[in-house]
Amino acid sequence: MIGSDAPMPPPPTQVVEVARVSKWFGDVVAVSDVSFSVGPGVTALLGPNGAGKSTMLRMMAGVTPPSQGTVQILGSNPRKNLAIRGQIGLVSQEENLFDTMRAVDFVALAATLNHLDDSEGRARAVLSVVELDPDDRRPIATYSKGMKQRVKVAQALIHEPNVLLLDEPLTGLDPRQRLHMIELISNLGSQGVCVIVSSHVLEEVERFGSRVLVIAQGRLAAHGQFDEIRELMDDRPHRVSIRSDEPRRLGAALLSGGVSGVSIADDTLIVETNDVSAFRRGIARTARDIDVRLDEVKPLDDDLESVFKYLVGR
Amino acid sequence: MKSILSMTRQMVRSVATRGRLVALSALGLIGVFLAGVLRWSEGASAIDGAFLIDRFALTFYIPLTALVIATSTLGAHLEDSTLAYFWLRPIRRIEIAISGLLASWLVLLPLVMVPVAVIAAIAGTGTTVTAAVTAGVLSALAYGAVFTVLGLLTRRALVWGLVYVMLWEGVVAGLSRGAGRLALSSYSSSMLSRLTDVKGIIAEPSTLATCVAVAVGVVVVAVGATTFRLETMDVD
Repeated sequence: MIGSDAPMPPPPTQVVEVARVSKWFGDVVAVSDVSFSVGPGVTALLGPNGAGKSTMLRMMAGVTPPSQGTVQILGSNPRKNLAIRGQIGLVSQEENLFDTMRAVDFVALAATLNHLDDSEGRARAVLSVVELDPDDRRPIATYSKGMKQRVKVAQALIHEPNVLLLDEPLTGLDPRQRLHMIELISNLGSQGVCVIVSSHVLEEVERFGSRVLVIAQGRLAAHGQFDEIRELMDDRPHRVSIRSDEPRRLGAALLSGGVSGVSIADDTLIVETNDVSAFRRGIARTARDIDVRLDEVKPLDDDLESVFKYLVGR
Repeated sequence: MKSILSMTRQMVRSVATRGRLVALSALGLIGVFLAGVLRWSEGASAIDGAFLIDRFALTFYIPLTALVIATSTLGAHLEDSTLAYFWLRPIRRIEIAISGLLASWLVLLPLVMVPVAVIAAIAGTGTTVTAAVTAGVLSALAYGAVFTVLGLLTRRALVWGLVYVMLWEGVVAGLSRGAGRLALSSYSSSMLSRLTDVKGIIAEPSTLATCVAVAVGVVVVAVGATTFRLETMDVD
Protein backbone atom coordinates (compact mmCIF):
# COMPACT_ATOMS: atom_id res chain seq x y z
CA MET A 1 0.00 0.00 0.00
CA ILE A 2 1.28 3.45 -0.86
CA GLY A 3 0.20 6.28 1.40
CA SER A 4 1.29 8.60 4.13
CA ASP A 5 0.93 5.86 6.74
CA ALA A 6 3.03 3.39 4.78
CA PRO A 7 6.30 2.76 6.62
CA MET A 8 9.47 3.85 4.89
CA PRO A 9 11.43 0.85 3.64
CA PRO A 10 14.55 0.28 5.73
CA PRO A 11 17.81 1.33 4.08
CA PRO A 12 19.55 -1.65 2.48
CA THR A 13 22.06 -3.25 4.84
CA GLN A 14 23.99 -4.55 1.85
CA VAL A 15 25.35 -1.67 -0.17
CA VAL A 16 26.94 -3.69 -2.95
CA GLU A 17 25.29 -6.84 -4.27
CA VAL A 18 27.00 -8.96 -6.87
CA ALA A 19 24.93 -11.89 -8.15
CA ARG A 20 26.35 -14.67 -10.34
CA VAL A 21 28.55 -12.24 -12.21
CA SER A 22 30.85 -13.35 -15.01
CA LYS A 23 32.92 -11.24 -17.35
CA TRP A 24 34.76 -12.41 -20.39
CA PHE A 25 36.84 -10.64 -23.01
CA GLY A 26 36.74 -12.76 -26.16
CA ASP A 27 37.94 -16.20 -25.07
CA VAL A 28 39.44 -14.96 -21.81
CA VAL A 29 37.27 -15.35 -18.72
CA ALA A 30 38.25 -12.61 -16.26
CA VAL A 31 35.53 -13.24 -13.67
CA SER A 32 33.50 -16.44 -13.36
CA ASP A 33 30.18 -16.77 -11.56
CA VAL A 34 31.00 -14.60 -8.56
CA SER A 35 28.39 -13.69 -5.95
CA PHE A 36 28.78 -11.69 -2.76
CA SER A 37 27.32 -8.76 -0.94
CA VAL A 38 29.07 -6.07 1.01
CA GLY A 39 27.79 -3.64 3.62
CA PRO A 40 29.25 -0.48 5.15
CA GLY A 41 32.85 -0.64 6.41
CA VAL A 42 36.08 -1.74 4.80
CA THR A 43 36.15 -4.91 2.72
CA ALA A 44 39.34 -6.11 1.08
CA LEU A 45 39.42 -7.81 -2.28
CA LEU A 46 42.49 -10.02 -2.00
CA GLY A 47 44.00 -11.95 -4.88
CA PRO A 48 47.09 -12.37 -7.01
CA ASN A 49 47.76 -10.17 -10.02
CA GLY A 50 45.45 -11.08 -12.90
CA ALA A 51 42.89 -12.70 -10.59
CA GLY A 52 40.06 -10.46 -11.76
CA LYS A 53 40.03 -7.92 -8.91
CA SER A 54 40.25 -4.84 -11.13
CA THR A 55 37.56 -6.17 -13.47
CA MET A 56 35.35 -6.84 -10.45
CA LEU A 57 35.85 -3.28 -9.16
CA ARG A 58 35.22 -1.81 -12.61
CA MET A 59 31.94 -3.72 -12.87
CA MET A 60 30.93 -2.41 -9.43
CA ALA A 61 31.72 1.14 -10.59
CA GLY A 62 29.68 0.52 -13.73
CA VAL A 63 32.45 1.39 -16.18
CA THR A 64 32.25 -2.08 -17.64
CA PRO A 65 29.09 -4.19 -17.79
CA PRO A 66 29.09 -7.82 -16.64
CA SER A 67 28.79 -10.39 -19.44
CA GLN A 68 26.41 -12.30 -17.19
CA GLY A 69 24.80 -11.68 -13.81
CA THR A 70 23.95 -8.44 -12.04
CA VAL A 71 25.76 -5.81 -10.02
CA GLN A 72 23.67 -3.54 -7.83
CA ILE A 73 24.85 -0.57 -5.83
CA LEU A 74 22.33 0.65 -3.24
CA GLY A 75 19.72 -1.42 -5.06
CA SER A 76 20.35 -0.02 -8.56
CA ASN A 77 22.40 -0.74 -11.64
CA PRO A 78 25.32 1.73 -11.57
CA ARG A 79 25.46 1.84 -15.38
CA LYS A 80 21.86 2.98 -15.68
CA ASN A 81 21.21 5.12 -12.64
CA LEU A 82 22.83 8.58 -12.65
CA ALA A 83 22.02 9.25 -8.99
CA ILE A 84 23.72 6.02 -7.96
CA ARG A 85 26.75 6.92 -10.05
CA GLY A 86 27.03 10.06 -7.93
CA GLN A 87 27.32 7.82 -4.87
CA ILE A 88 30.39 5.97 -6.16
CA GLY A 89 34.05 6.97 -6.01
CA LEU A 90 36.59 4.95 -7.99
CA VAL A 91 40.37 4.94 -7.80
CA SER A 92 41.52 2.83 -10.72
CA GLN A 93 45.00 1.52 -11.44
CA GLU A 94 45.28 3.61 -14.60
CA GLU A 95 48.03 6.15 -14.15
CA ASN A 96 46.88 8.71 -16.70
CA LEU A 97 45.11 11.81 -15.47
CA PHE A 98 44.47 15.12 -17.23
CA ASP A 99 48.18 15.72 -17.21
CA THR A 100 48.25 19.36 -18.29
CA MET A 101 46.00 20.39 -15.40
CA ARG A 102 47.01 21.37 -11.90
CA ALA A 103 45.84 18.95 -9.21
CA VAL A 104 43.44 21.50 -7.74
CA ASP A 105 41.83 22.11 -11.16
CA PHE A 106 41.53 18.39 -11.84
CA VAL A 107 39.78 17.73 -8.53
CA ALA A 108 37.65 20.89 -8.94
CA LEU A 109 36.52 19.57 -12.34
CA ALA A 110 35.39 16.38 -10.61
CA ALA A 111 33.44 18.52 -8.12
CA THR A 112 31.78 20.51 -10.92
CA LEU A 113 30.80 17.33 -12.75
CA ASN A 114 29.24 16.11 -9.49
CA HIS A 115 27.15 19.30 -9.44
CA LEU A 116 28.79 20.59 -6.25
CA ASP A 117 29.09 24.27 -5.47
CA ASP A 118 32.39 25.94 -4.47
CA SER A 119 34.27 23.31 -6.45
CA GLU A 120 37.67 24.92 -5.92
CA GLY A 121 37.17 25.29 -2.16
CA ARG A 122 36.15 21.64 -1.91
CA ALA A 123 39.09 20.59 -4.09
CA ARG A 124 41.54 22.45 -1.87
CA ALA A 125 40.08 20.82 1.23
CA VAL A 126 40.21 17.28 -0.12
CA LEU A 127 43.75 17.74 -1.46
CA SER A 128 44.80 18.68 2.06
CA VAL A 129 43.19 15.48 3.35
CA VAL A 130 45.47 13.43 1.06
CA GLU A 131 48.43 15.62 2.05
CA LEU A 132 48.92 17.41 -1.28
CA ASP A 133 49.55 21.13 -1.60
CA PRO A 134 46.46 22.79 -3.16
CA ASP A 135 48.64 25.76 -4.19
CA ASP A 136 51.06 23.61 -6.18
CA ARG A 137 51.17 25.24 -9.61
CA ARG A 138 52.90 22.36 -11.38
CA PRO A 139 50.86 20.29 -13.86
CA ILE A 140 49.97 16.76 -12.80
CA ALA A 141 52.30 15.39 -15.49
CA THR A 142 55.28 16.39 -13.33
CA TYR A 143 53.99 14.51 -10.26
CA SER A 144 55.53 11.32 -8.88
CA LYS A 145 53.54 8.08 -8.96
CA GLY A 146 52.65 8.46 -5.28
CA MET A 147 51.43 12.03 -5.77
CA LYS A 148 49.30 10.99 -8.76
CA GLN A 149 47.87 8.19 -6.64
CA ARG A 150 46.81 10.74 -4.01
CA VAL A 151 45.26 12.99 -6.67
CA LYS A 152 43.21 9.99 -7.79
CA VAL A 153 42.07 9.39 -4.24
CA ALA A 154 41.17 13.08 -3.87
CA GLN A 155 38.96 13.06 -7.00
CA ALA A 156 37.23 9.92 -5.71
CA LEU A 157 36.51 11.52 -2.33
CA ILE A 158 35.42 14.95 -3.57
CA HIS A 159 31.70 14.14 -3.57
CA GLU A 160 31.77 12.19 -0.28
CA PRO A 161 30.57 8.96 -1.90
CA ASN A 162 28.77 6.20 -0.01
CA VAL A 163 30.68 3.58 -1.98
CA LEU A 164 34.41 3.91 -2.45
CA LEU A 165 36.18 1.46 -4.76
CA LEU A 166 39.97 1.52 -4.48
CA ASP A 167 42.13 -0.55 -6.81
CA GLU A 168 45.52 -1.12 -5.15
CA PRO A 169 45.45 2.36 -3.56
CA LEU A 170 48.77 1.98 -1.73
CA THR A 171 50.76 1.53 -4.95
CA GLY A 172 53.57 4.05 -5.26
CA LEU A 173 53.15 5.50 -1.77
CA ASP A 174 56.09 5.73 0.62
CA PRO A 175 55.76 4.07 4.07
CA ARG A 176 54.52 7.23 5.79
CA GLN A 177 51.96 7.93 3.08
CA ARG A 178 50.84 4.29 3.21
CA LEU A 179 50.16 4.63 6.93
CA HIS A 180 48.22 7.83 6.31
CA MET A 181 46.19 6.23 3.51
CA ILE A 182 45.41 3.13 5.59
CA GLU A 183 44.24 5.39 8.41
CA LEU A 184 42.10 7.43 6.00
CA ILE A 185 40.52 4.30 4.54
CA SER A 186 39.84 2.83 7.98
CA ASN A 187 38.27 6.11 9.16
CA LEU A 188 35.97 6.22 6.14
CA GLY A 189 34.94 2.64 6.89
CA SER A 190 34.17 3.51 10.51
CA GLN A 191 32.06 6.45 9.34
CA GLY A 192 29.81 4.02 7.46
CA VAL A 193 31.21 4.38 3.96
CA CYS A 194 31.28 1.10 2.06
CA VAL A 195 34.95 0.88 1.09
CA ILE A 196 36.14 -1.96 -1.14
CA VAL A 197 39.88 -2.01 -1.49
CA SER A 198 41.81 -4.44 -3.68
CA SER A 199 45.26 -5.75 -2.89
CA HIS A 200 47.53 -8.66 -3.72
CA VAL A 201 49.49 -8.27 -0.50
CA LEU A 202 48.22 -10.19 2.52
CA GLU A 203 49.98 -7.93 5.03
CA GLU A 204 48.32 -4.87 3.51
CA VAL A 205 44.91 -6.43 3.94
CA GLU A 206 45.72 -7.29 7.55
CA ARG A 207 46.35 -3.61 8.26
CA PHE A 208 42.91 -2.63 7.01
CA GLY A 209 41.56 -4.98 9.72
CA SER A 210 38.71 -5.82 7.47
CA ARG A 211 36.45 -8.42 6.00
CA VAL A 212 38.17 -10.20 3.13
CA LEU A 213 36.96 -11.53 -0.22
CA VAL A 214 39.61 -13.75 -1.80
CA ILE A 215 39.51 -13.76 -5.60
CA ALA A 216 41.67 -16.17 -7.55
CA GLN A 217 41.48 -17.21 -11.19
CA GLY A 218 38.35 -15.09 -11.59
CA ARG A 219 36.47 -16.96 -8.87
CA LEU A 220 35.54 -16.13 -5.30
CA ALA A 221 37.83 -18.53 -3.46
CA ALA A 222 37.02 -17.62 0.13
CA HIS A 223 35.46 -14.90 2.24
CA GLY A 224 35.33 -13.96 5.89
CA GLN A 225 37.10 -11.89 8.51
CA PHE A 226 40.85 -11.54 8.05
CA ASP A 227 41.68 -13.90 10.94
CA GLU A 228 39.46 -16.65 9.49
CA ILE A 229 41.14 -16.33 6.11
CA ARG A 230 44.59 -16.34 7.69
CA GLU A 231 43.68 -19.52 9.61
CA LEU A 232 42.37 -21.14 6.45
CA MET A 233 45.62 -20.38 4.71
CA ASP A 234 47.72 -21.79 7.56
CA ASP A 235 45.63 -24.95 7.86
CA ARG A 236 46.17 -26.03 4.26
CA PRO A 237 48.67 -28.83 3.47
CA HIS A 238 52.20 -27.43 3.25
CA ARG A 239 55.21 -28.95 1.48
CA VAL A 240 58.65 -28.43 2.95
CA SER A 241 61.95 -29.33 1.34
CA ILE A 242 64.70 -30.51 3.71
CA ARG A 243 68.36 -31.11 2.89
CA SER A 244 70.27 -33.17 5.45
CA ASP A 245 73.12 -35.70 5.68
CA GLU A 246 70.66 -38.60 6.23
CA PRO A 247 67.34 -37.81 4.52
CA ARG A 248 65.95 -41.37 4.70
CA ARG A 249 66.41 -41.70 8.47
CA LEU A 250 65.02 -38.20 9.02
CA GLY A 251 62.04 -39.01 6.80
CA ALA A 252 61.22 -42.13 8.77
CA ALA A 253 61.44 -40.21 12.05
CA LEU A 254 59.18 -37.45 10.76
CA LEU A 255 56.62 -39.98 9.47
CA SER A 256 56.37 -41.55 12.88
CA GLY A 257 56.09 -38.03 14.31
CA GLY A 258 52.86 -37.33 12.43
CA VAL A 259 53.58 -35.62 9.10
CA SER A 260 51.15 -36.64 6.38
CA GLY A 261 53.70 -37.77 3.78
CA VAL A 262 57.37 -37.88 2.83
CA SER A 263 59.25 -38.49 -0.41
CA ILE A 264 62.87 -38.25 -1.45
CA ALA A 265 64.08 -36.71 -4.70
CA ASP A 266 67.78 -36.11 -5.47
CA ASP A 267 68.73 -36.60 -1.81
CA THR A 268 66.22 -33.92 -0.81
CA LEU A 269 63.45 -34.84 1.56
CA ILE A 270 60.01 -33.47 0.67
CA VAL A 271 57.62 -33.45 3.62
CA GLU A 272 53.90 -32.80 3.53
CA THR A 273 52.22 -31.51 6.68
CA ASN A 274 48.82 -30.13 7.62
CA ASP A 275 50.17 -28.29 10.66
CA VAL A 276 53.09 -26.25 9.43
CA SER A 277 53.49 -24.32 12.69
CA ALA A 278 53.93 -27.51 14.75
CA PHE A 279 56.25 -28.92 12.09
CA ARG A 280 58.43 -25.78 12.18
CA ARG A 281 58.61 -26.00 15.99
CA GLY A 282 59.49 -29.73 16.04
CA ILE A 283 61.85 -30.34 13.11
CA ALA A 284 65.04 -29.22 14.86
CA ARG A 285 64.33 -31.32 17.95
CA THR A 286 63.55 -34.43 15.85
CA ALA A 287 66.83 -34.03 13.92
CA ARG A 288 68.79 -33.56 17.13
CA ASP A 289 67.14 -36.61 18.76
CA ILE A 290 68.24 -38.96 15.94
CA ASP A 291 71.56 -37.14 15.47
CA VAL A 292 70.94 -35.98 11.86
CA ARG A 293 72.39 -32.74 10.54
CA LEU A 294 69.95 -30.24 8.96
CA ASP A 295 71.49 -28.31 6.02
CA GLU A 296 68.40 -26.50 4.76
CA VAL A 297 64.68 -26.33 5.55
CA LYS A 298 62.70 -24.51 2.85
CA PRO A 299 58.93 -24.09 2.39
CA LEU A 300 57.99 -25.04 -1.18
CA ASP A 301 54.64 -23.34 -1.56
CA ASP A 302 54.49 -20.52 0.90
CA ASP A 303 54.02 -17.85 -1.76
CA LEU A 304 50.62 -16.21 -2.04
CA GLU A 305 50.10 -17.65 -5.51
CA SER A 306 50.07 -21.23 -4.20
CA VAL A 307 47.84 -20.20 -1.31
CA PHE A 308 45.28 -18.90 -3.78
CA LYS A 309 45.62 -22.05 -5.90
CA TYR A 310 44.85 -24.13 -2.82
CA LEU A 311 41.82 -22.01 -1.93
CA VAL A 312 40.44 -22.27 -5.46
CA GLY A 313 40.96 -26.03 -5.58
CA ARG A 314 39.30 -26.75 -2.22
CA MET B 1 25.46 23.69 -18.78
CA LYS B 2 28.37 24.21 -16.37
CA SER B 3 29.29 20.55 -16.79
CA ILE B 4 29.33 20.87 -20.59
CA LEU B 5 31.50 24.00 -20.46
CA SER B 6 33.94 22.41 -18.02
CA MET B 7 34.27 19.23 -20.08
CA THR B 8 34.57 21.17 -23.33
CA ARG B 9 37.36 23.31 -21.86
CA GLN B 10 39.31 20.23 -20.77
CA MET B 11 38.80 18.48 -24.13
CA VAL B 12 39.96 21.57 -26.03
CA ARG B 13 43.08 21.73 -23.86
CA SER B 14 43.94 18.11 -24.48
CA VAL B 15 43.28 18.10 -28.22
CA ALA B 16 44.83 21.47 -29.12
CA THR B 17 48.45 20.45 -28.63
CA ARG B 18 51.15 22.70 -30.03
CA GLY B 19 52.42 19.97 -32.38
CA ARG B 20 49.00 19.38 -33.92
CA LEU B 21 48.25 23.08 -34.32
CA VAL B 22 51.61 23.83 -35.94
CA ALA B 23 51.43 20.85 -38.35
CA LEU B 24 47.85 21.58 -39.41
CA SER B 25 48.50 25.32 -39.76
CA ALA B 26 51.46 24.50 -41.98
CA LEU B 27 49.12 22.44 -44.14
CA GLY B 28 46.83 25.47 -44.41
CA LEU B 29 49.79 27.61 -45.46
CA ILE B 30 50.32 25.31 -48.45
CA GLY B 31 46.86 26.37 -49.65
CA VAL B 32 47.71 30.02 -49.10
CA PHE B 33 50.92 29.52 -51.09
CA LEU B 34 48.99 27.85 -53.94
CA ALA B 35 46.51 30.74 -53.92
CA GLY B 36 49.42 33.17 -54.17
CA VAL B 37 50.88 31.30 -57.14
CA LEU B 38 47.48 31.21 -58.85
CA ARG B 39 46.92 34.92 -58.28
CA TRP B 40 50.41 35.78 -59.54
CA SER B 41 50.08 33.66 -62.70
CA GLU B 42 46.39 34.12 -63.56
CA GLY B 43 45.17 37.13 -61.58
CA ALA B 44 42.14 37.12 -59.26
CA SER B 45 39.24 35.07 -60.65
CA ALA B 46 35.96 33.85 -59.12
CA ILE B 47 36.23 30.60 -61.09
CA ASP B 48 39.88 29.83 -60.25
CA GLY B 49 39.31 30.81 -56.62
CA ALA B 50 36.24 28.56 -56.32
CA PHE B 51 38.06 25.59 -57.87
CA LEU B 52 41.06 26.04 -55.58
CA ILE B 53 38.80 26.25 -52.53
CA ASP B 54 36.97 23.11 -53.63
CA ARG B 55 39.96 20.98 -54.60
CA PHE B 56 42.24 22.05 -51.76
CA ALA B 57 40.07 23.13 -48.82
CA LEU B 58 36.78 21.27 -49.15
CA THR B 59 38.06 17.91 -50.37
CA PHE B 60 41.47 17.77 -48.66
CA TYR B 61 42.39 20.32 -46.01
CA ILE B 62 39.16 20.51 -43.98
CA PRO B 63 38.45 16.72 -43.96
CA LEU B 64 42.04 15.91 -43.02
CA THR B 65 42.23 18.54 -40.28
CA ALA B 66 38.84 17.43 -38.93
CA LEU B 67 40.07 13.84 -38.94
CA VAL B 68 43.17 14.65 -36.86
CA ILE B 69 41.37 16.91 -34.40
CA ALA B 70 37.94 15.32 -33.97
CA THR B 71 39.03 11.70 -33.69
CA SER B 72 41.20 12.79 -30.74
CA THR B 73 38.59 14.80 -28.86
CA LEU B 74 36.96 11.80 -27.19
CA GLY B 75 39.16 9.14 -28.80
CA ALA B 76 42.34 10.28 -27.05
CA HIS B 77 40.56 10.18 -23.70
CA LEU B 78 39.41 6.66 -24.50
CA GLU B 79 42.92 5.71 -25.59
CA ASP B 80 44.64 6.94 -22.42
CA SER B 81 41.83 5.73 -20.14
CA THR B 82 40.89 9.20 -18.87
CA LEU B 83 37.39 9.08 -20.37
CA ALA B 84 36.31 7.43 -17.11
CA TYR B 85 36.87 10.75 -15.30
CA PHE B 86 33.94 12.16 -17.29
CA TRP B 87 31.98 8.93 -17.56
CA LEU B 88 31.92 8.15 -13.83
CA ARG B 89 30.22 11.41 -12.92
CA PRO B 90 26.45 11.76 -12.54
CA ILE B 91 26.00 13.56 -15.85
CA ARG B 92 23.95 12.48 -18.83
CA ARG B 93 25.87 10.81 -21.64
CA ILE B 94 24.50 13.30 -24.14
CA GLU B 95 26.31 16.05 -22.20
CA ILE B 96 29.63 14.27 -22.77
CA ALA B 97 28.72 13.80 -26.46
CA ILE B 98 27.85 17.50 -26.88
CA SER B 99 31.05 18.53 -25.08
CA GLY B 100 33.09 16.37 -27.43
CA LEU B 101 31.41 17.89 -30.45
CA LEU B 102 31.82 21.46 -29.18
CA ALA B 103 35.49 20.85 -28.42
CA SER B 104 36.09 19.47 -31.93
CA TRP B 105 34.42 22.48 -33.50
CA LEU B 106 36.08 25.04 -31.24
CA VAL B 107 39.53 23.82 -32.27
CA LEU B 108 38.66 23.00 -35.86
CA LEU B 109 36.76 26.10 -37.00
CA PRO B 110 39.41 28.78 -36.33
CA LEU B 111 42.14 26.44 -37.50
CA VAL B 112 40.62 25.86 -40.94
CA MET B 113 38.51 28.93 -41.54
CA VAL B 114 41.31 31.46 -41.35
CA PRO B 115 43.35 29.79 -44.15
CA VAL B 116 40.17 29.15 -46.17
CA ALA B 117 39.18 32.83 -46.01
CA VAL B 118 42.73 33.94 -46.87
CA ILE B 119 42.93 31.50 -49.81
CA ALA B 120 39.57 32.73 -51.13
CA ALA B 121 40.59 36.37 -50.69
CA ILE B 122 43.88 35.90 -52.55
CA ALA B 123 42.71 33.68 -55.41
CA GLY B 124 39.06 34.71 -55.74
CA THR B 125 36.76 37.66 -55.39
CA GLY B 126 34.51 39.03 -52.64
CA THR B 127 31.76 36.51 -53.45
CA THR B 128 34.29 33.69 -53.31
CA VAL B 129 35.24 34.60 -49.75
CA THR B 130 31.63 34.53 -48.49
CA ALA B 131 30.87 31.30 -50.34
CA ALA B 132 34.11 29.62 -49.23
CA VAL B 133 33.56 30.53 -45.60
CA THR B 134 29.92 29.32 -45.67
CA ALA B 135 30.75 26.03 -47.41
CA GLY B 136 33.84 25.61 -45.22
CA VAL B 137 31.87 26.06 -42.00
CA LEU B 138 29.25 23.55 -43.20
CA SER B 139 32.00 21.11 -44.12
CA ALA B 140 33.90 21.53 -40.82
CA LEU B 141 30.75 21.05 -38.74
CA ALA B 142 29.80 17.85 -40.57
CA TYR B 143 33.28 16.29 -40.68
CA GLY B 144 33.92 17.32 -37.07
CA ALA B 145 30.75 15.53 -35.97
CA VAL B 146 31.44 12.36 -37.95
CA PHE B 147 35.05 12.04 -36.85
CA THR B 148 34.22 12.76 -33.19
CA VAL B 149 32.00 9.69 -33.06
CA LEU B 150 34.50 7.69 -35.14
CA GLY B 151 37.11 8.32 -32.42
CA LEU B 152 34.86 6.52 -29.95
CA LEU B 153 33.93 3.67 -32.27
CA THR B 154 37.40 2.40 -33.09
CA ARG B 155 40.96 2.76 -31.90
CA ARG B 156 41.97 2.90 -35.58
CA ALA B 157 39.88 5.97 -36.26
CA LEU B 158 42.65 7.75 -38.18
CA VAL B 159 43.06 4.83 -40.57
CA TRP B 160 39.32 4.41 -41.18
CA GLY B 161 38.92 8.17 -41.54
CA LEU B 162 41.69 8.27 -44.12
CA VAL B 163 40.09 5.40 -46.00
CA TYR B 164 36.80 7.32 -46.04
CA VAL B 165 38.32 10.63 -47.15
CA MET B 166 40.88 9.32 -49.64
CA LEU B 167 39.21 6.20 -51.04
CA TRP B 168 35.48 6.73 -50.65
CA GLU B 169 35.25 10.47 -51.20
CA GLY B 170 38.29 10.71 -53.46
CA VAL B 171 37.63 7.73 -55.72
CA VAL B 172 34.41 5.76 -55.17
CA ALA B 173 32.10 8.79 -54.78
CA GLY B 174 33.11 9.99 -58.25
CA LEU B 175 32.11 6.71 -59.88
CA SER B 176 28.38 6.69 -59.15
CA ARG B 177 25.65 9.10 -58.13
CA GLY B 178 24.56 6.92 -55.22
CA ALA B 179 28.05 6.75 -53.75
CA GLY B 180 28.39 10.50 -54.24
CA ARG B 181 25.37 11.06 -52.00
CA LEU B 182 27.28 9.36 -49.19
CA ALA B 183 30.21 11.75 -49.55
CA LEU B 184 30.12 14.83 -47.31
CA SER B 185 32.39 16.69 -49.71
CA SER B 186 29.73 16.53 -52.44
CA TYR B 187 27.44 18.71 -50.30
CA SER B 188 30.09 21.28 -49.41
CA SER B 189 31.13 21.40 -53.07
CA SER B 190 27.47 21.79 -54.05
CA MET B 191 27.09 24.68 -51.64
CA LEU B 192 30.20 26.38 -52.99
CA SER B 193 28.98 25.87 -56.54
CA ARG B 194 25.54 27.30 -55.75
CA LEU B 195 26.86 30.28 -53.81
CA THR B 196 29.55 31.24 -56.34
CA ASP B 197 27.46 30.23 -59.34
CA VAL B 198 30.55 28.54 -60.78
CA LYS B 199 29.66 25.50 -62.92
CA GLY B 200 31.74 22.34 -63.10
CA ILE B 201 32.86 22.18 -59.48
CA ILE B 202 30.50 19.22 -59.12
CA ALA B 203 28.51 17.51 -61.87
CA GLU B 204 25.06 17.71 -60.34
CA PRO B 205 25.09 20.05 -57.35
CA SER B 206 22.49 19.52 -54.62
CA THR B 207 20.26 22.40 -53.61
CA LEU B 208 21.31 24.70 -50.76
CA ALA B 209 18.43 23.40 -48.65
CA THR B 210 19.58 19.83 -49.18
CA CYS B 211 23.17 20.73 -48.21
CA VAL B 212 22.07 22.40 -44.98
CA ALA B 213 19.63 19.57 -44.17
CA VAL B 214 22.35 16.96 -44.70
CA ALA B 215 24.78 18.84 -42.45
CA VAL B 216 22.17 19.21 -39.70
CA GLY B 217 21.18 15.55 -40.08
CA VAL B 218 24.80 14.40 -39.87
CA VAL B 219 25.33 16.40 -36.67
CA VAL B 220 22.13 15.07 -35.06
CA VAL B 221 22.98 11.47 -35.96
CA ALA B 222 26.55 11.94 -34.70
CA VAL B 223 25.33 13.26 -31.34
CA GLY B 224 22.90 10.34 -31.07
CA ALA B 225 25.54 7.78 -32.04
CA THR B 226 28.10 9.23 -29.63
CA THR B 227 25.56 9.21 -26.80
CA PHE B 228 24.54 5.62 -27.56
CA ARG B 229 28.16 4.53 -27.73
CA LEU B 230 28.91 6.19 -24.39
CA GLU B 231 25.93 4.44 -22.82
CA THR B 232 26.84 0.98 -24.02
CA MET B 233 30.63 0.88 -24.19
CA ASP B 234 33.25 -0.54 -21.87
CA VAL B 235 35.06 2.51 -20.55
CA ASP B 236 38.63 1.27 -20.25
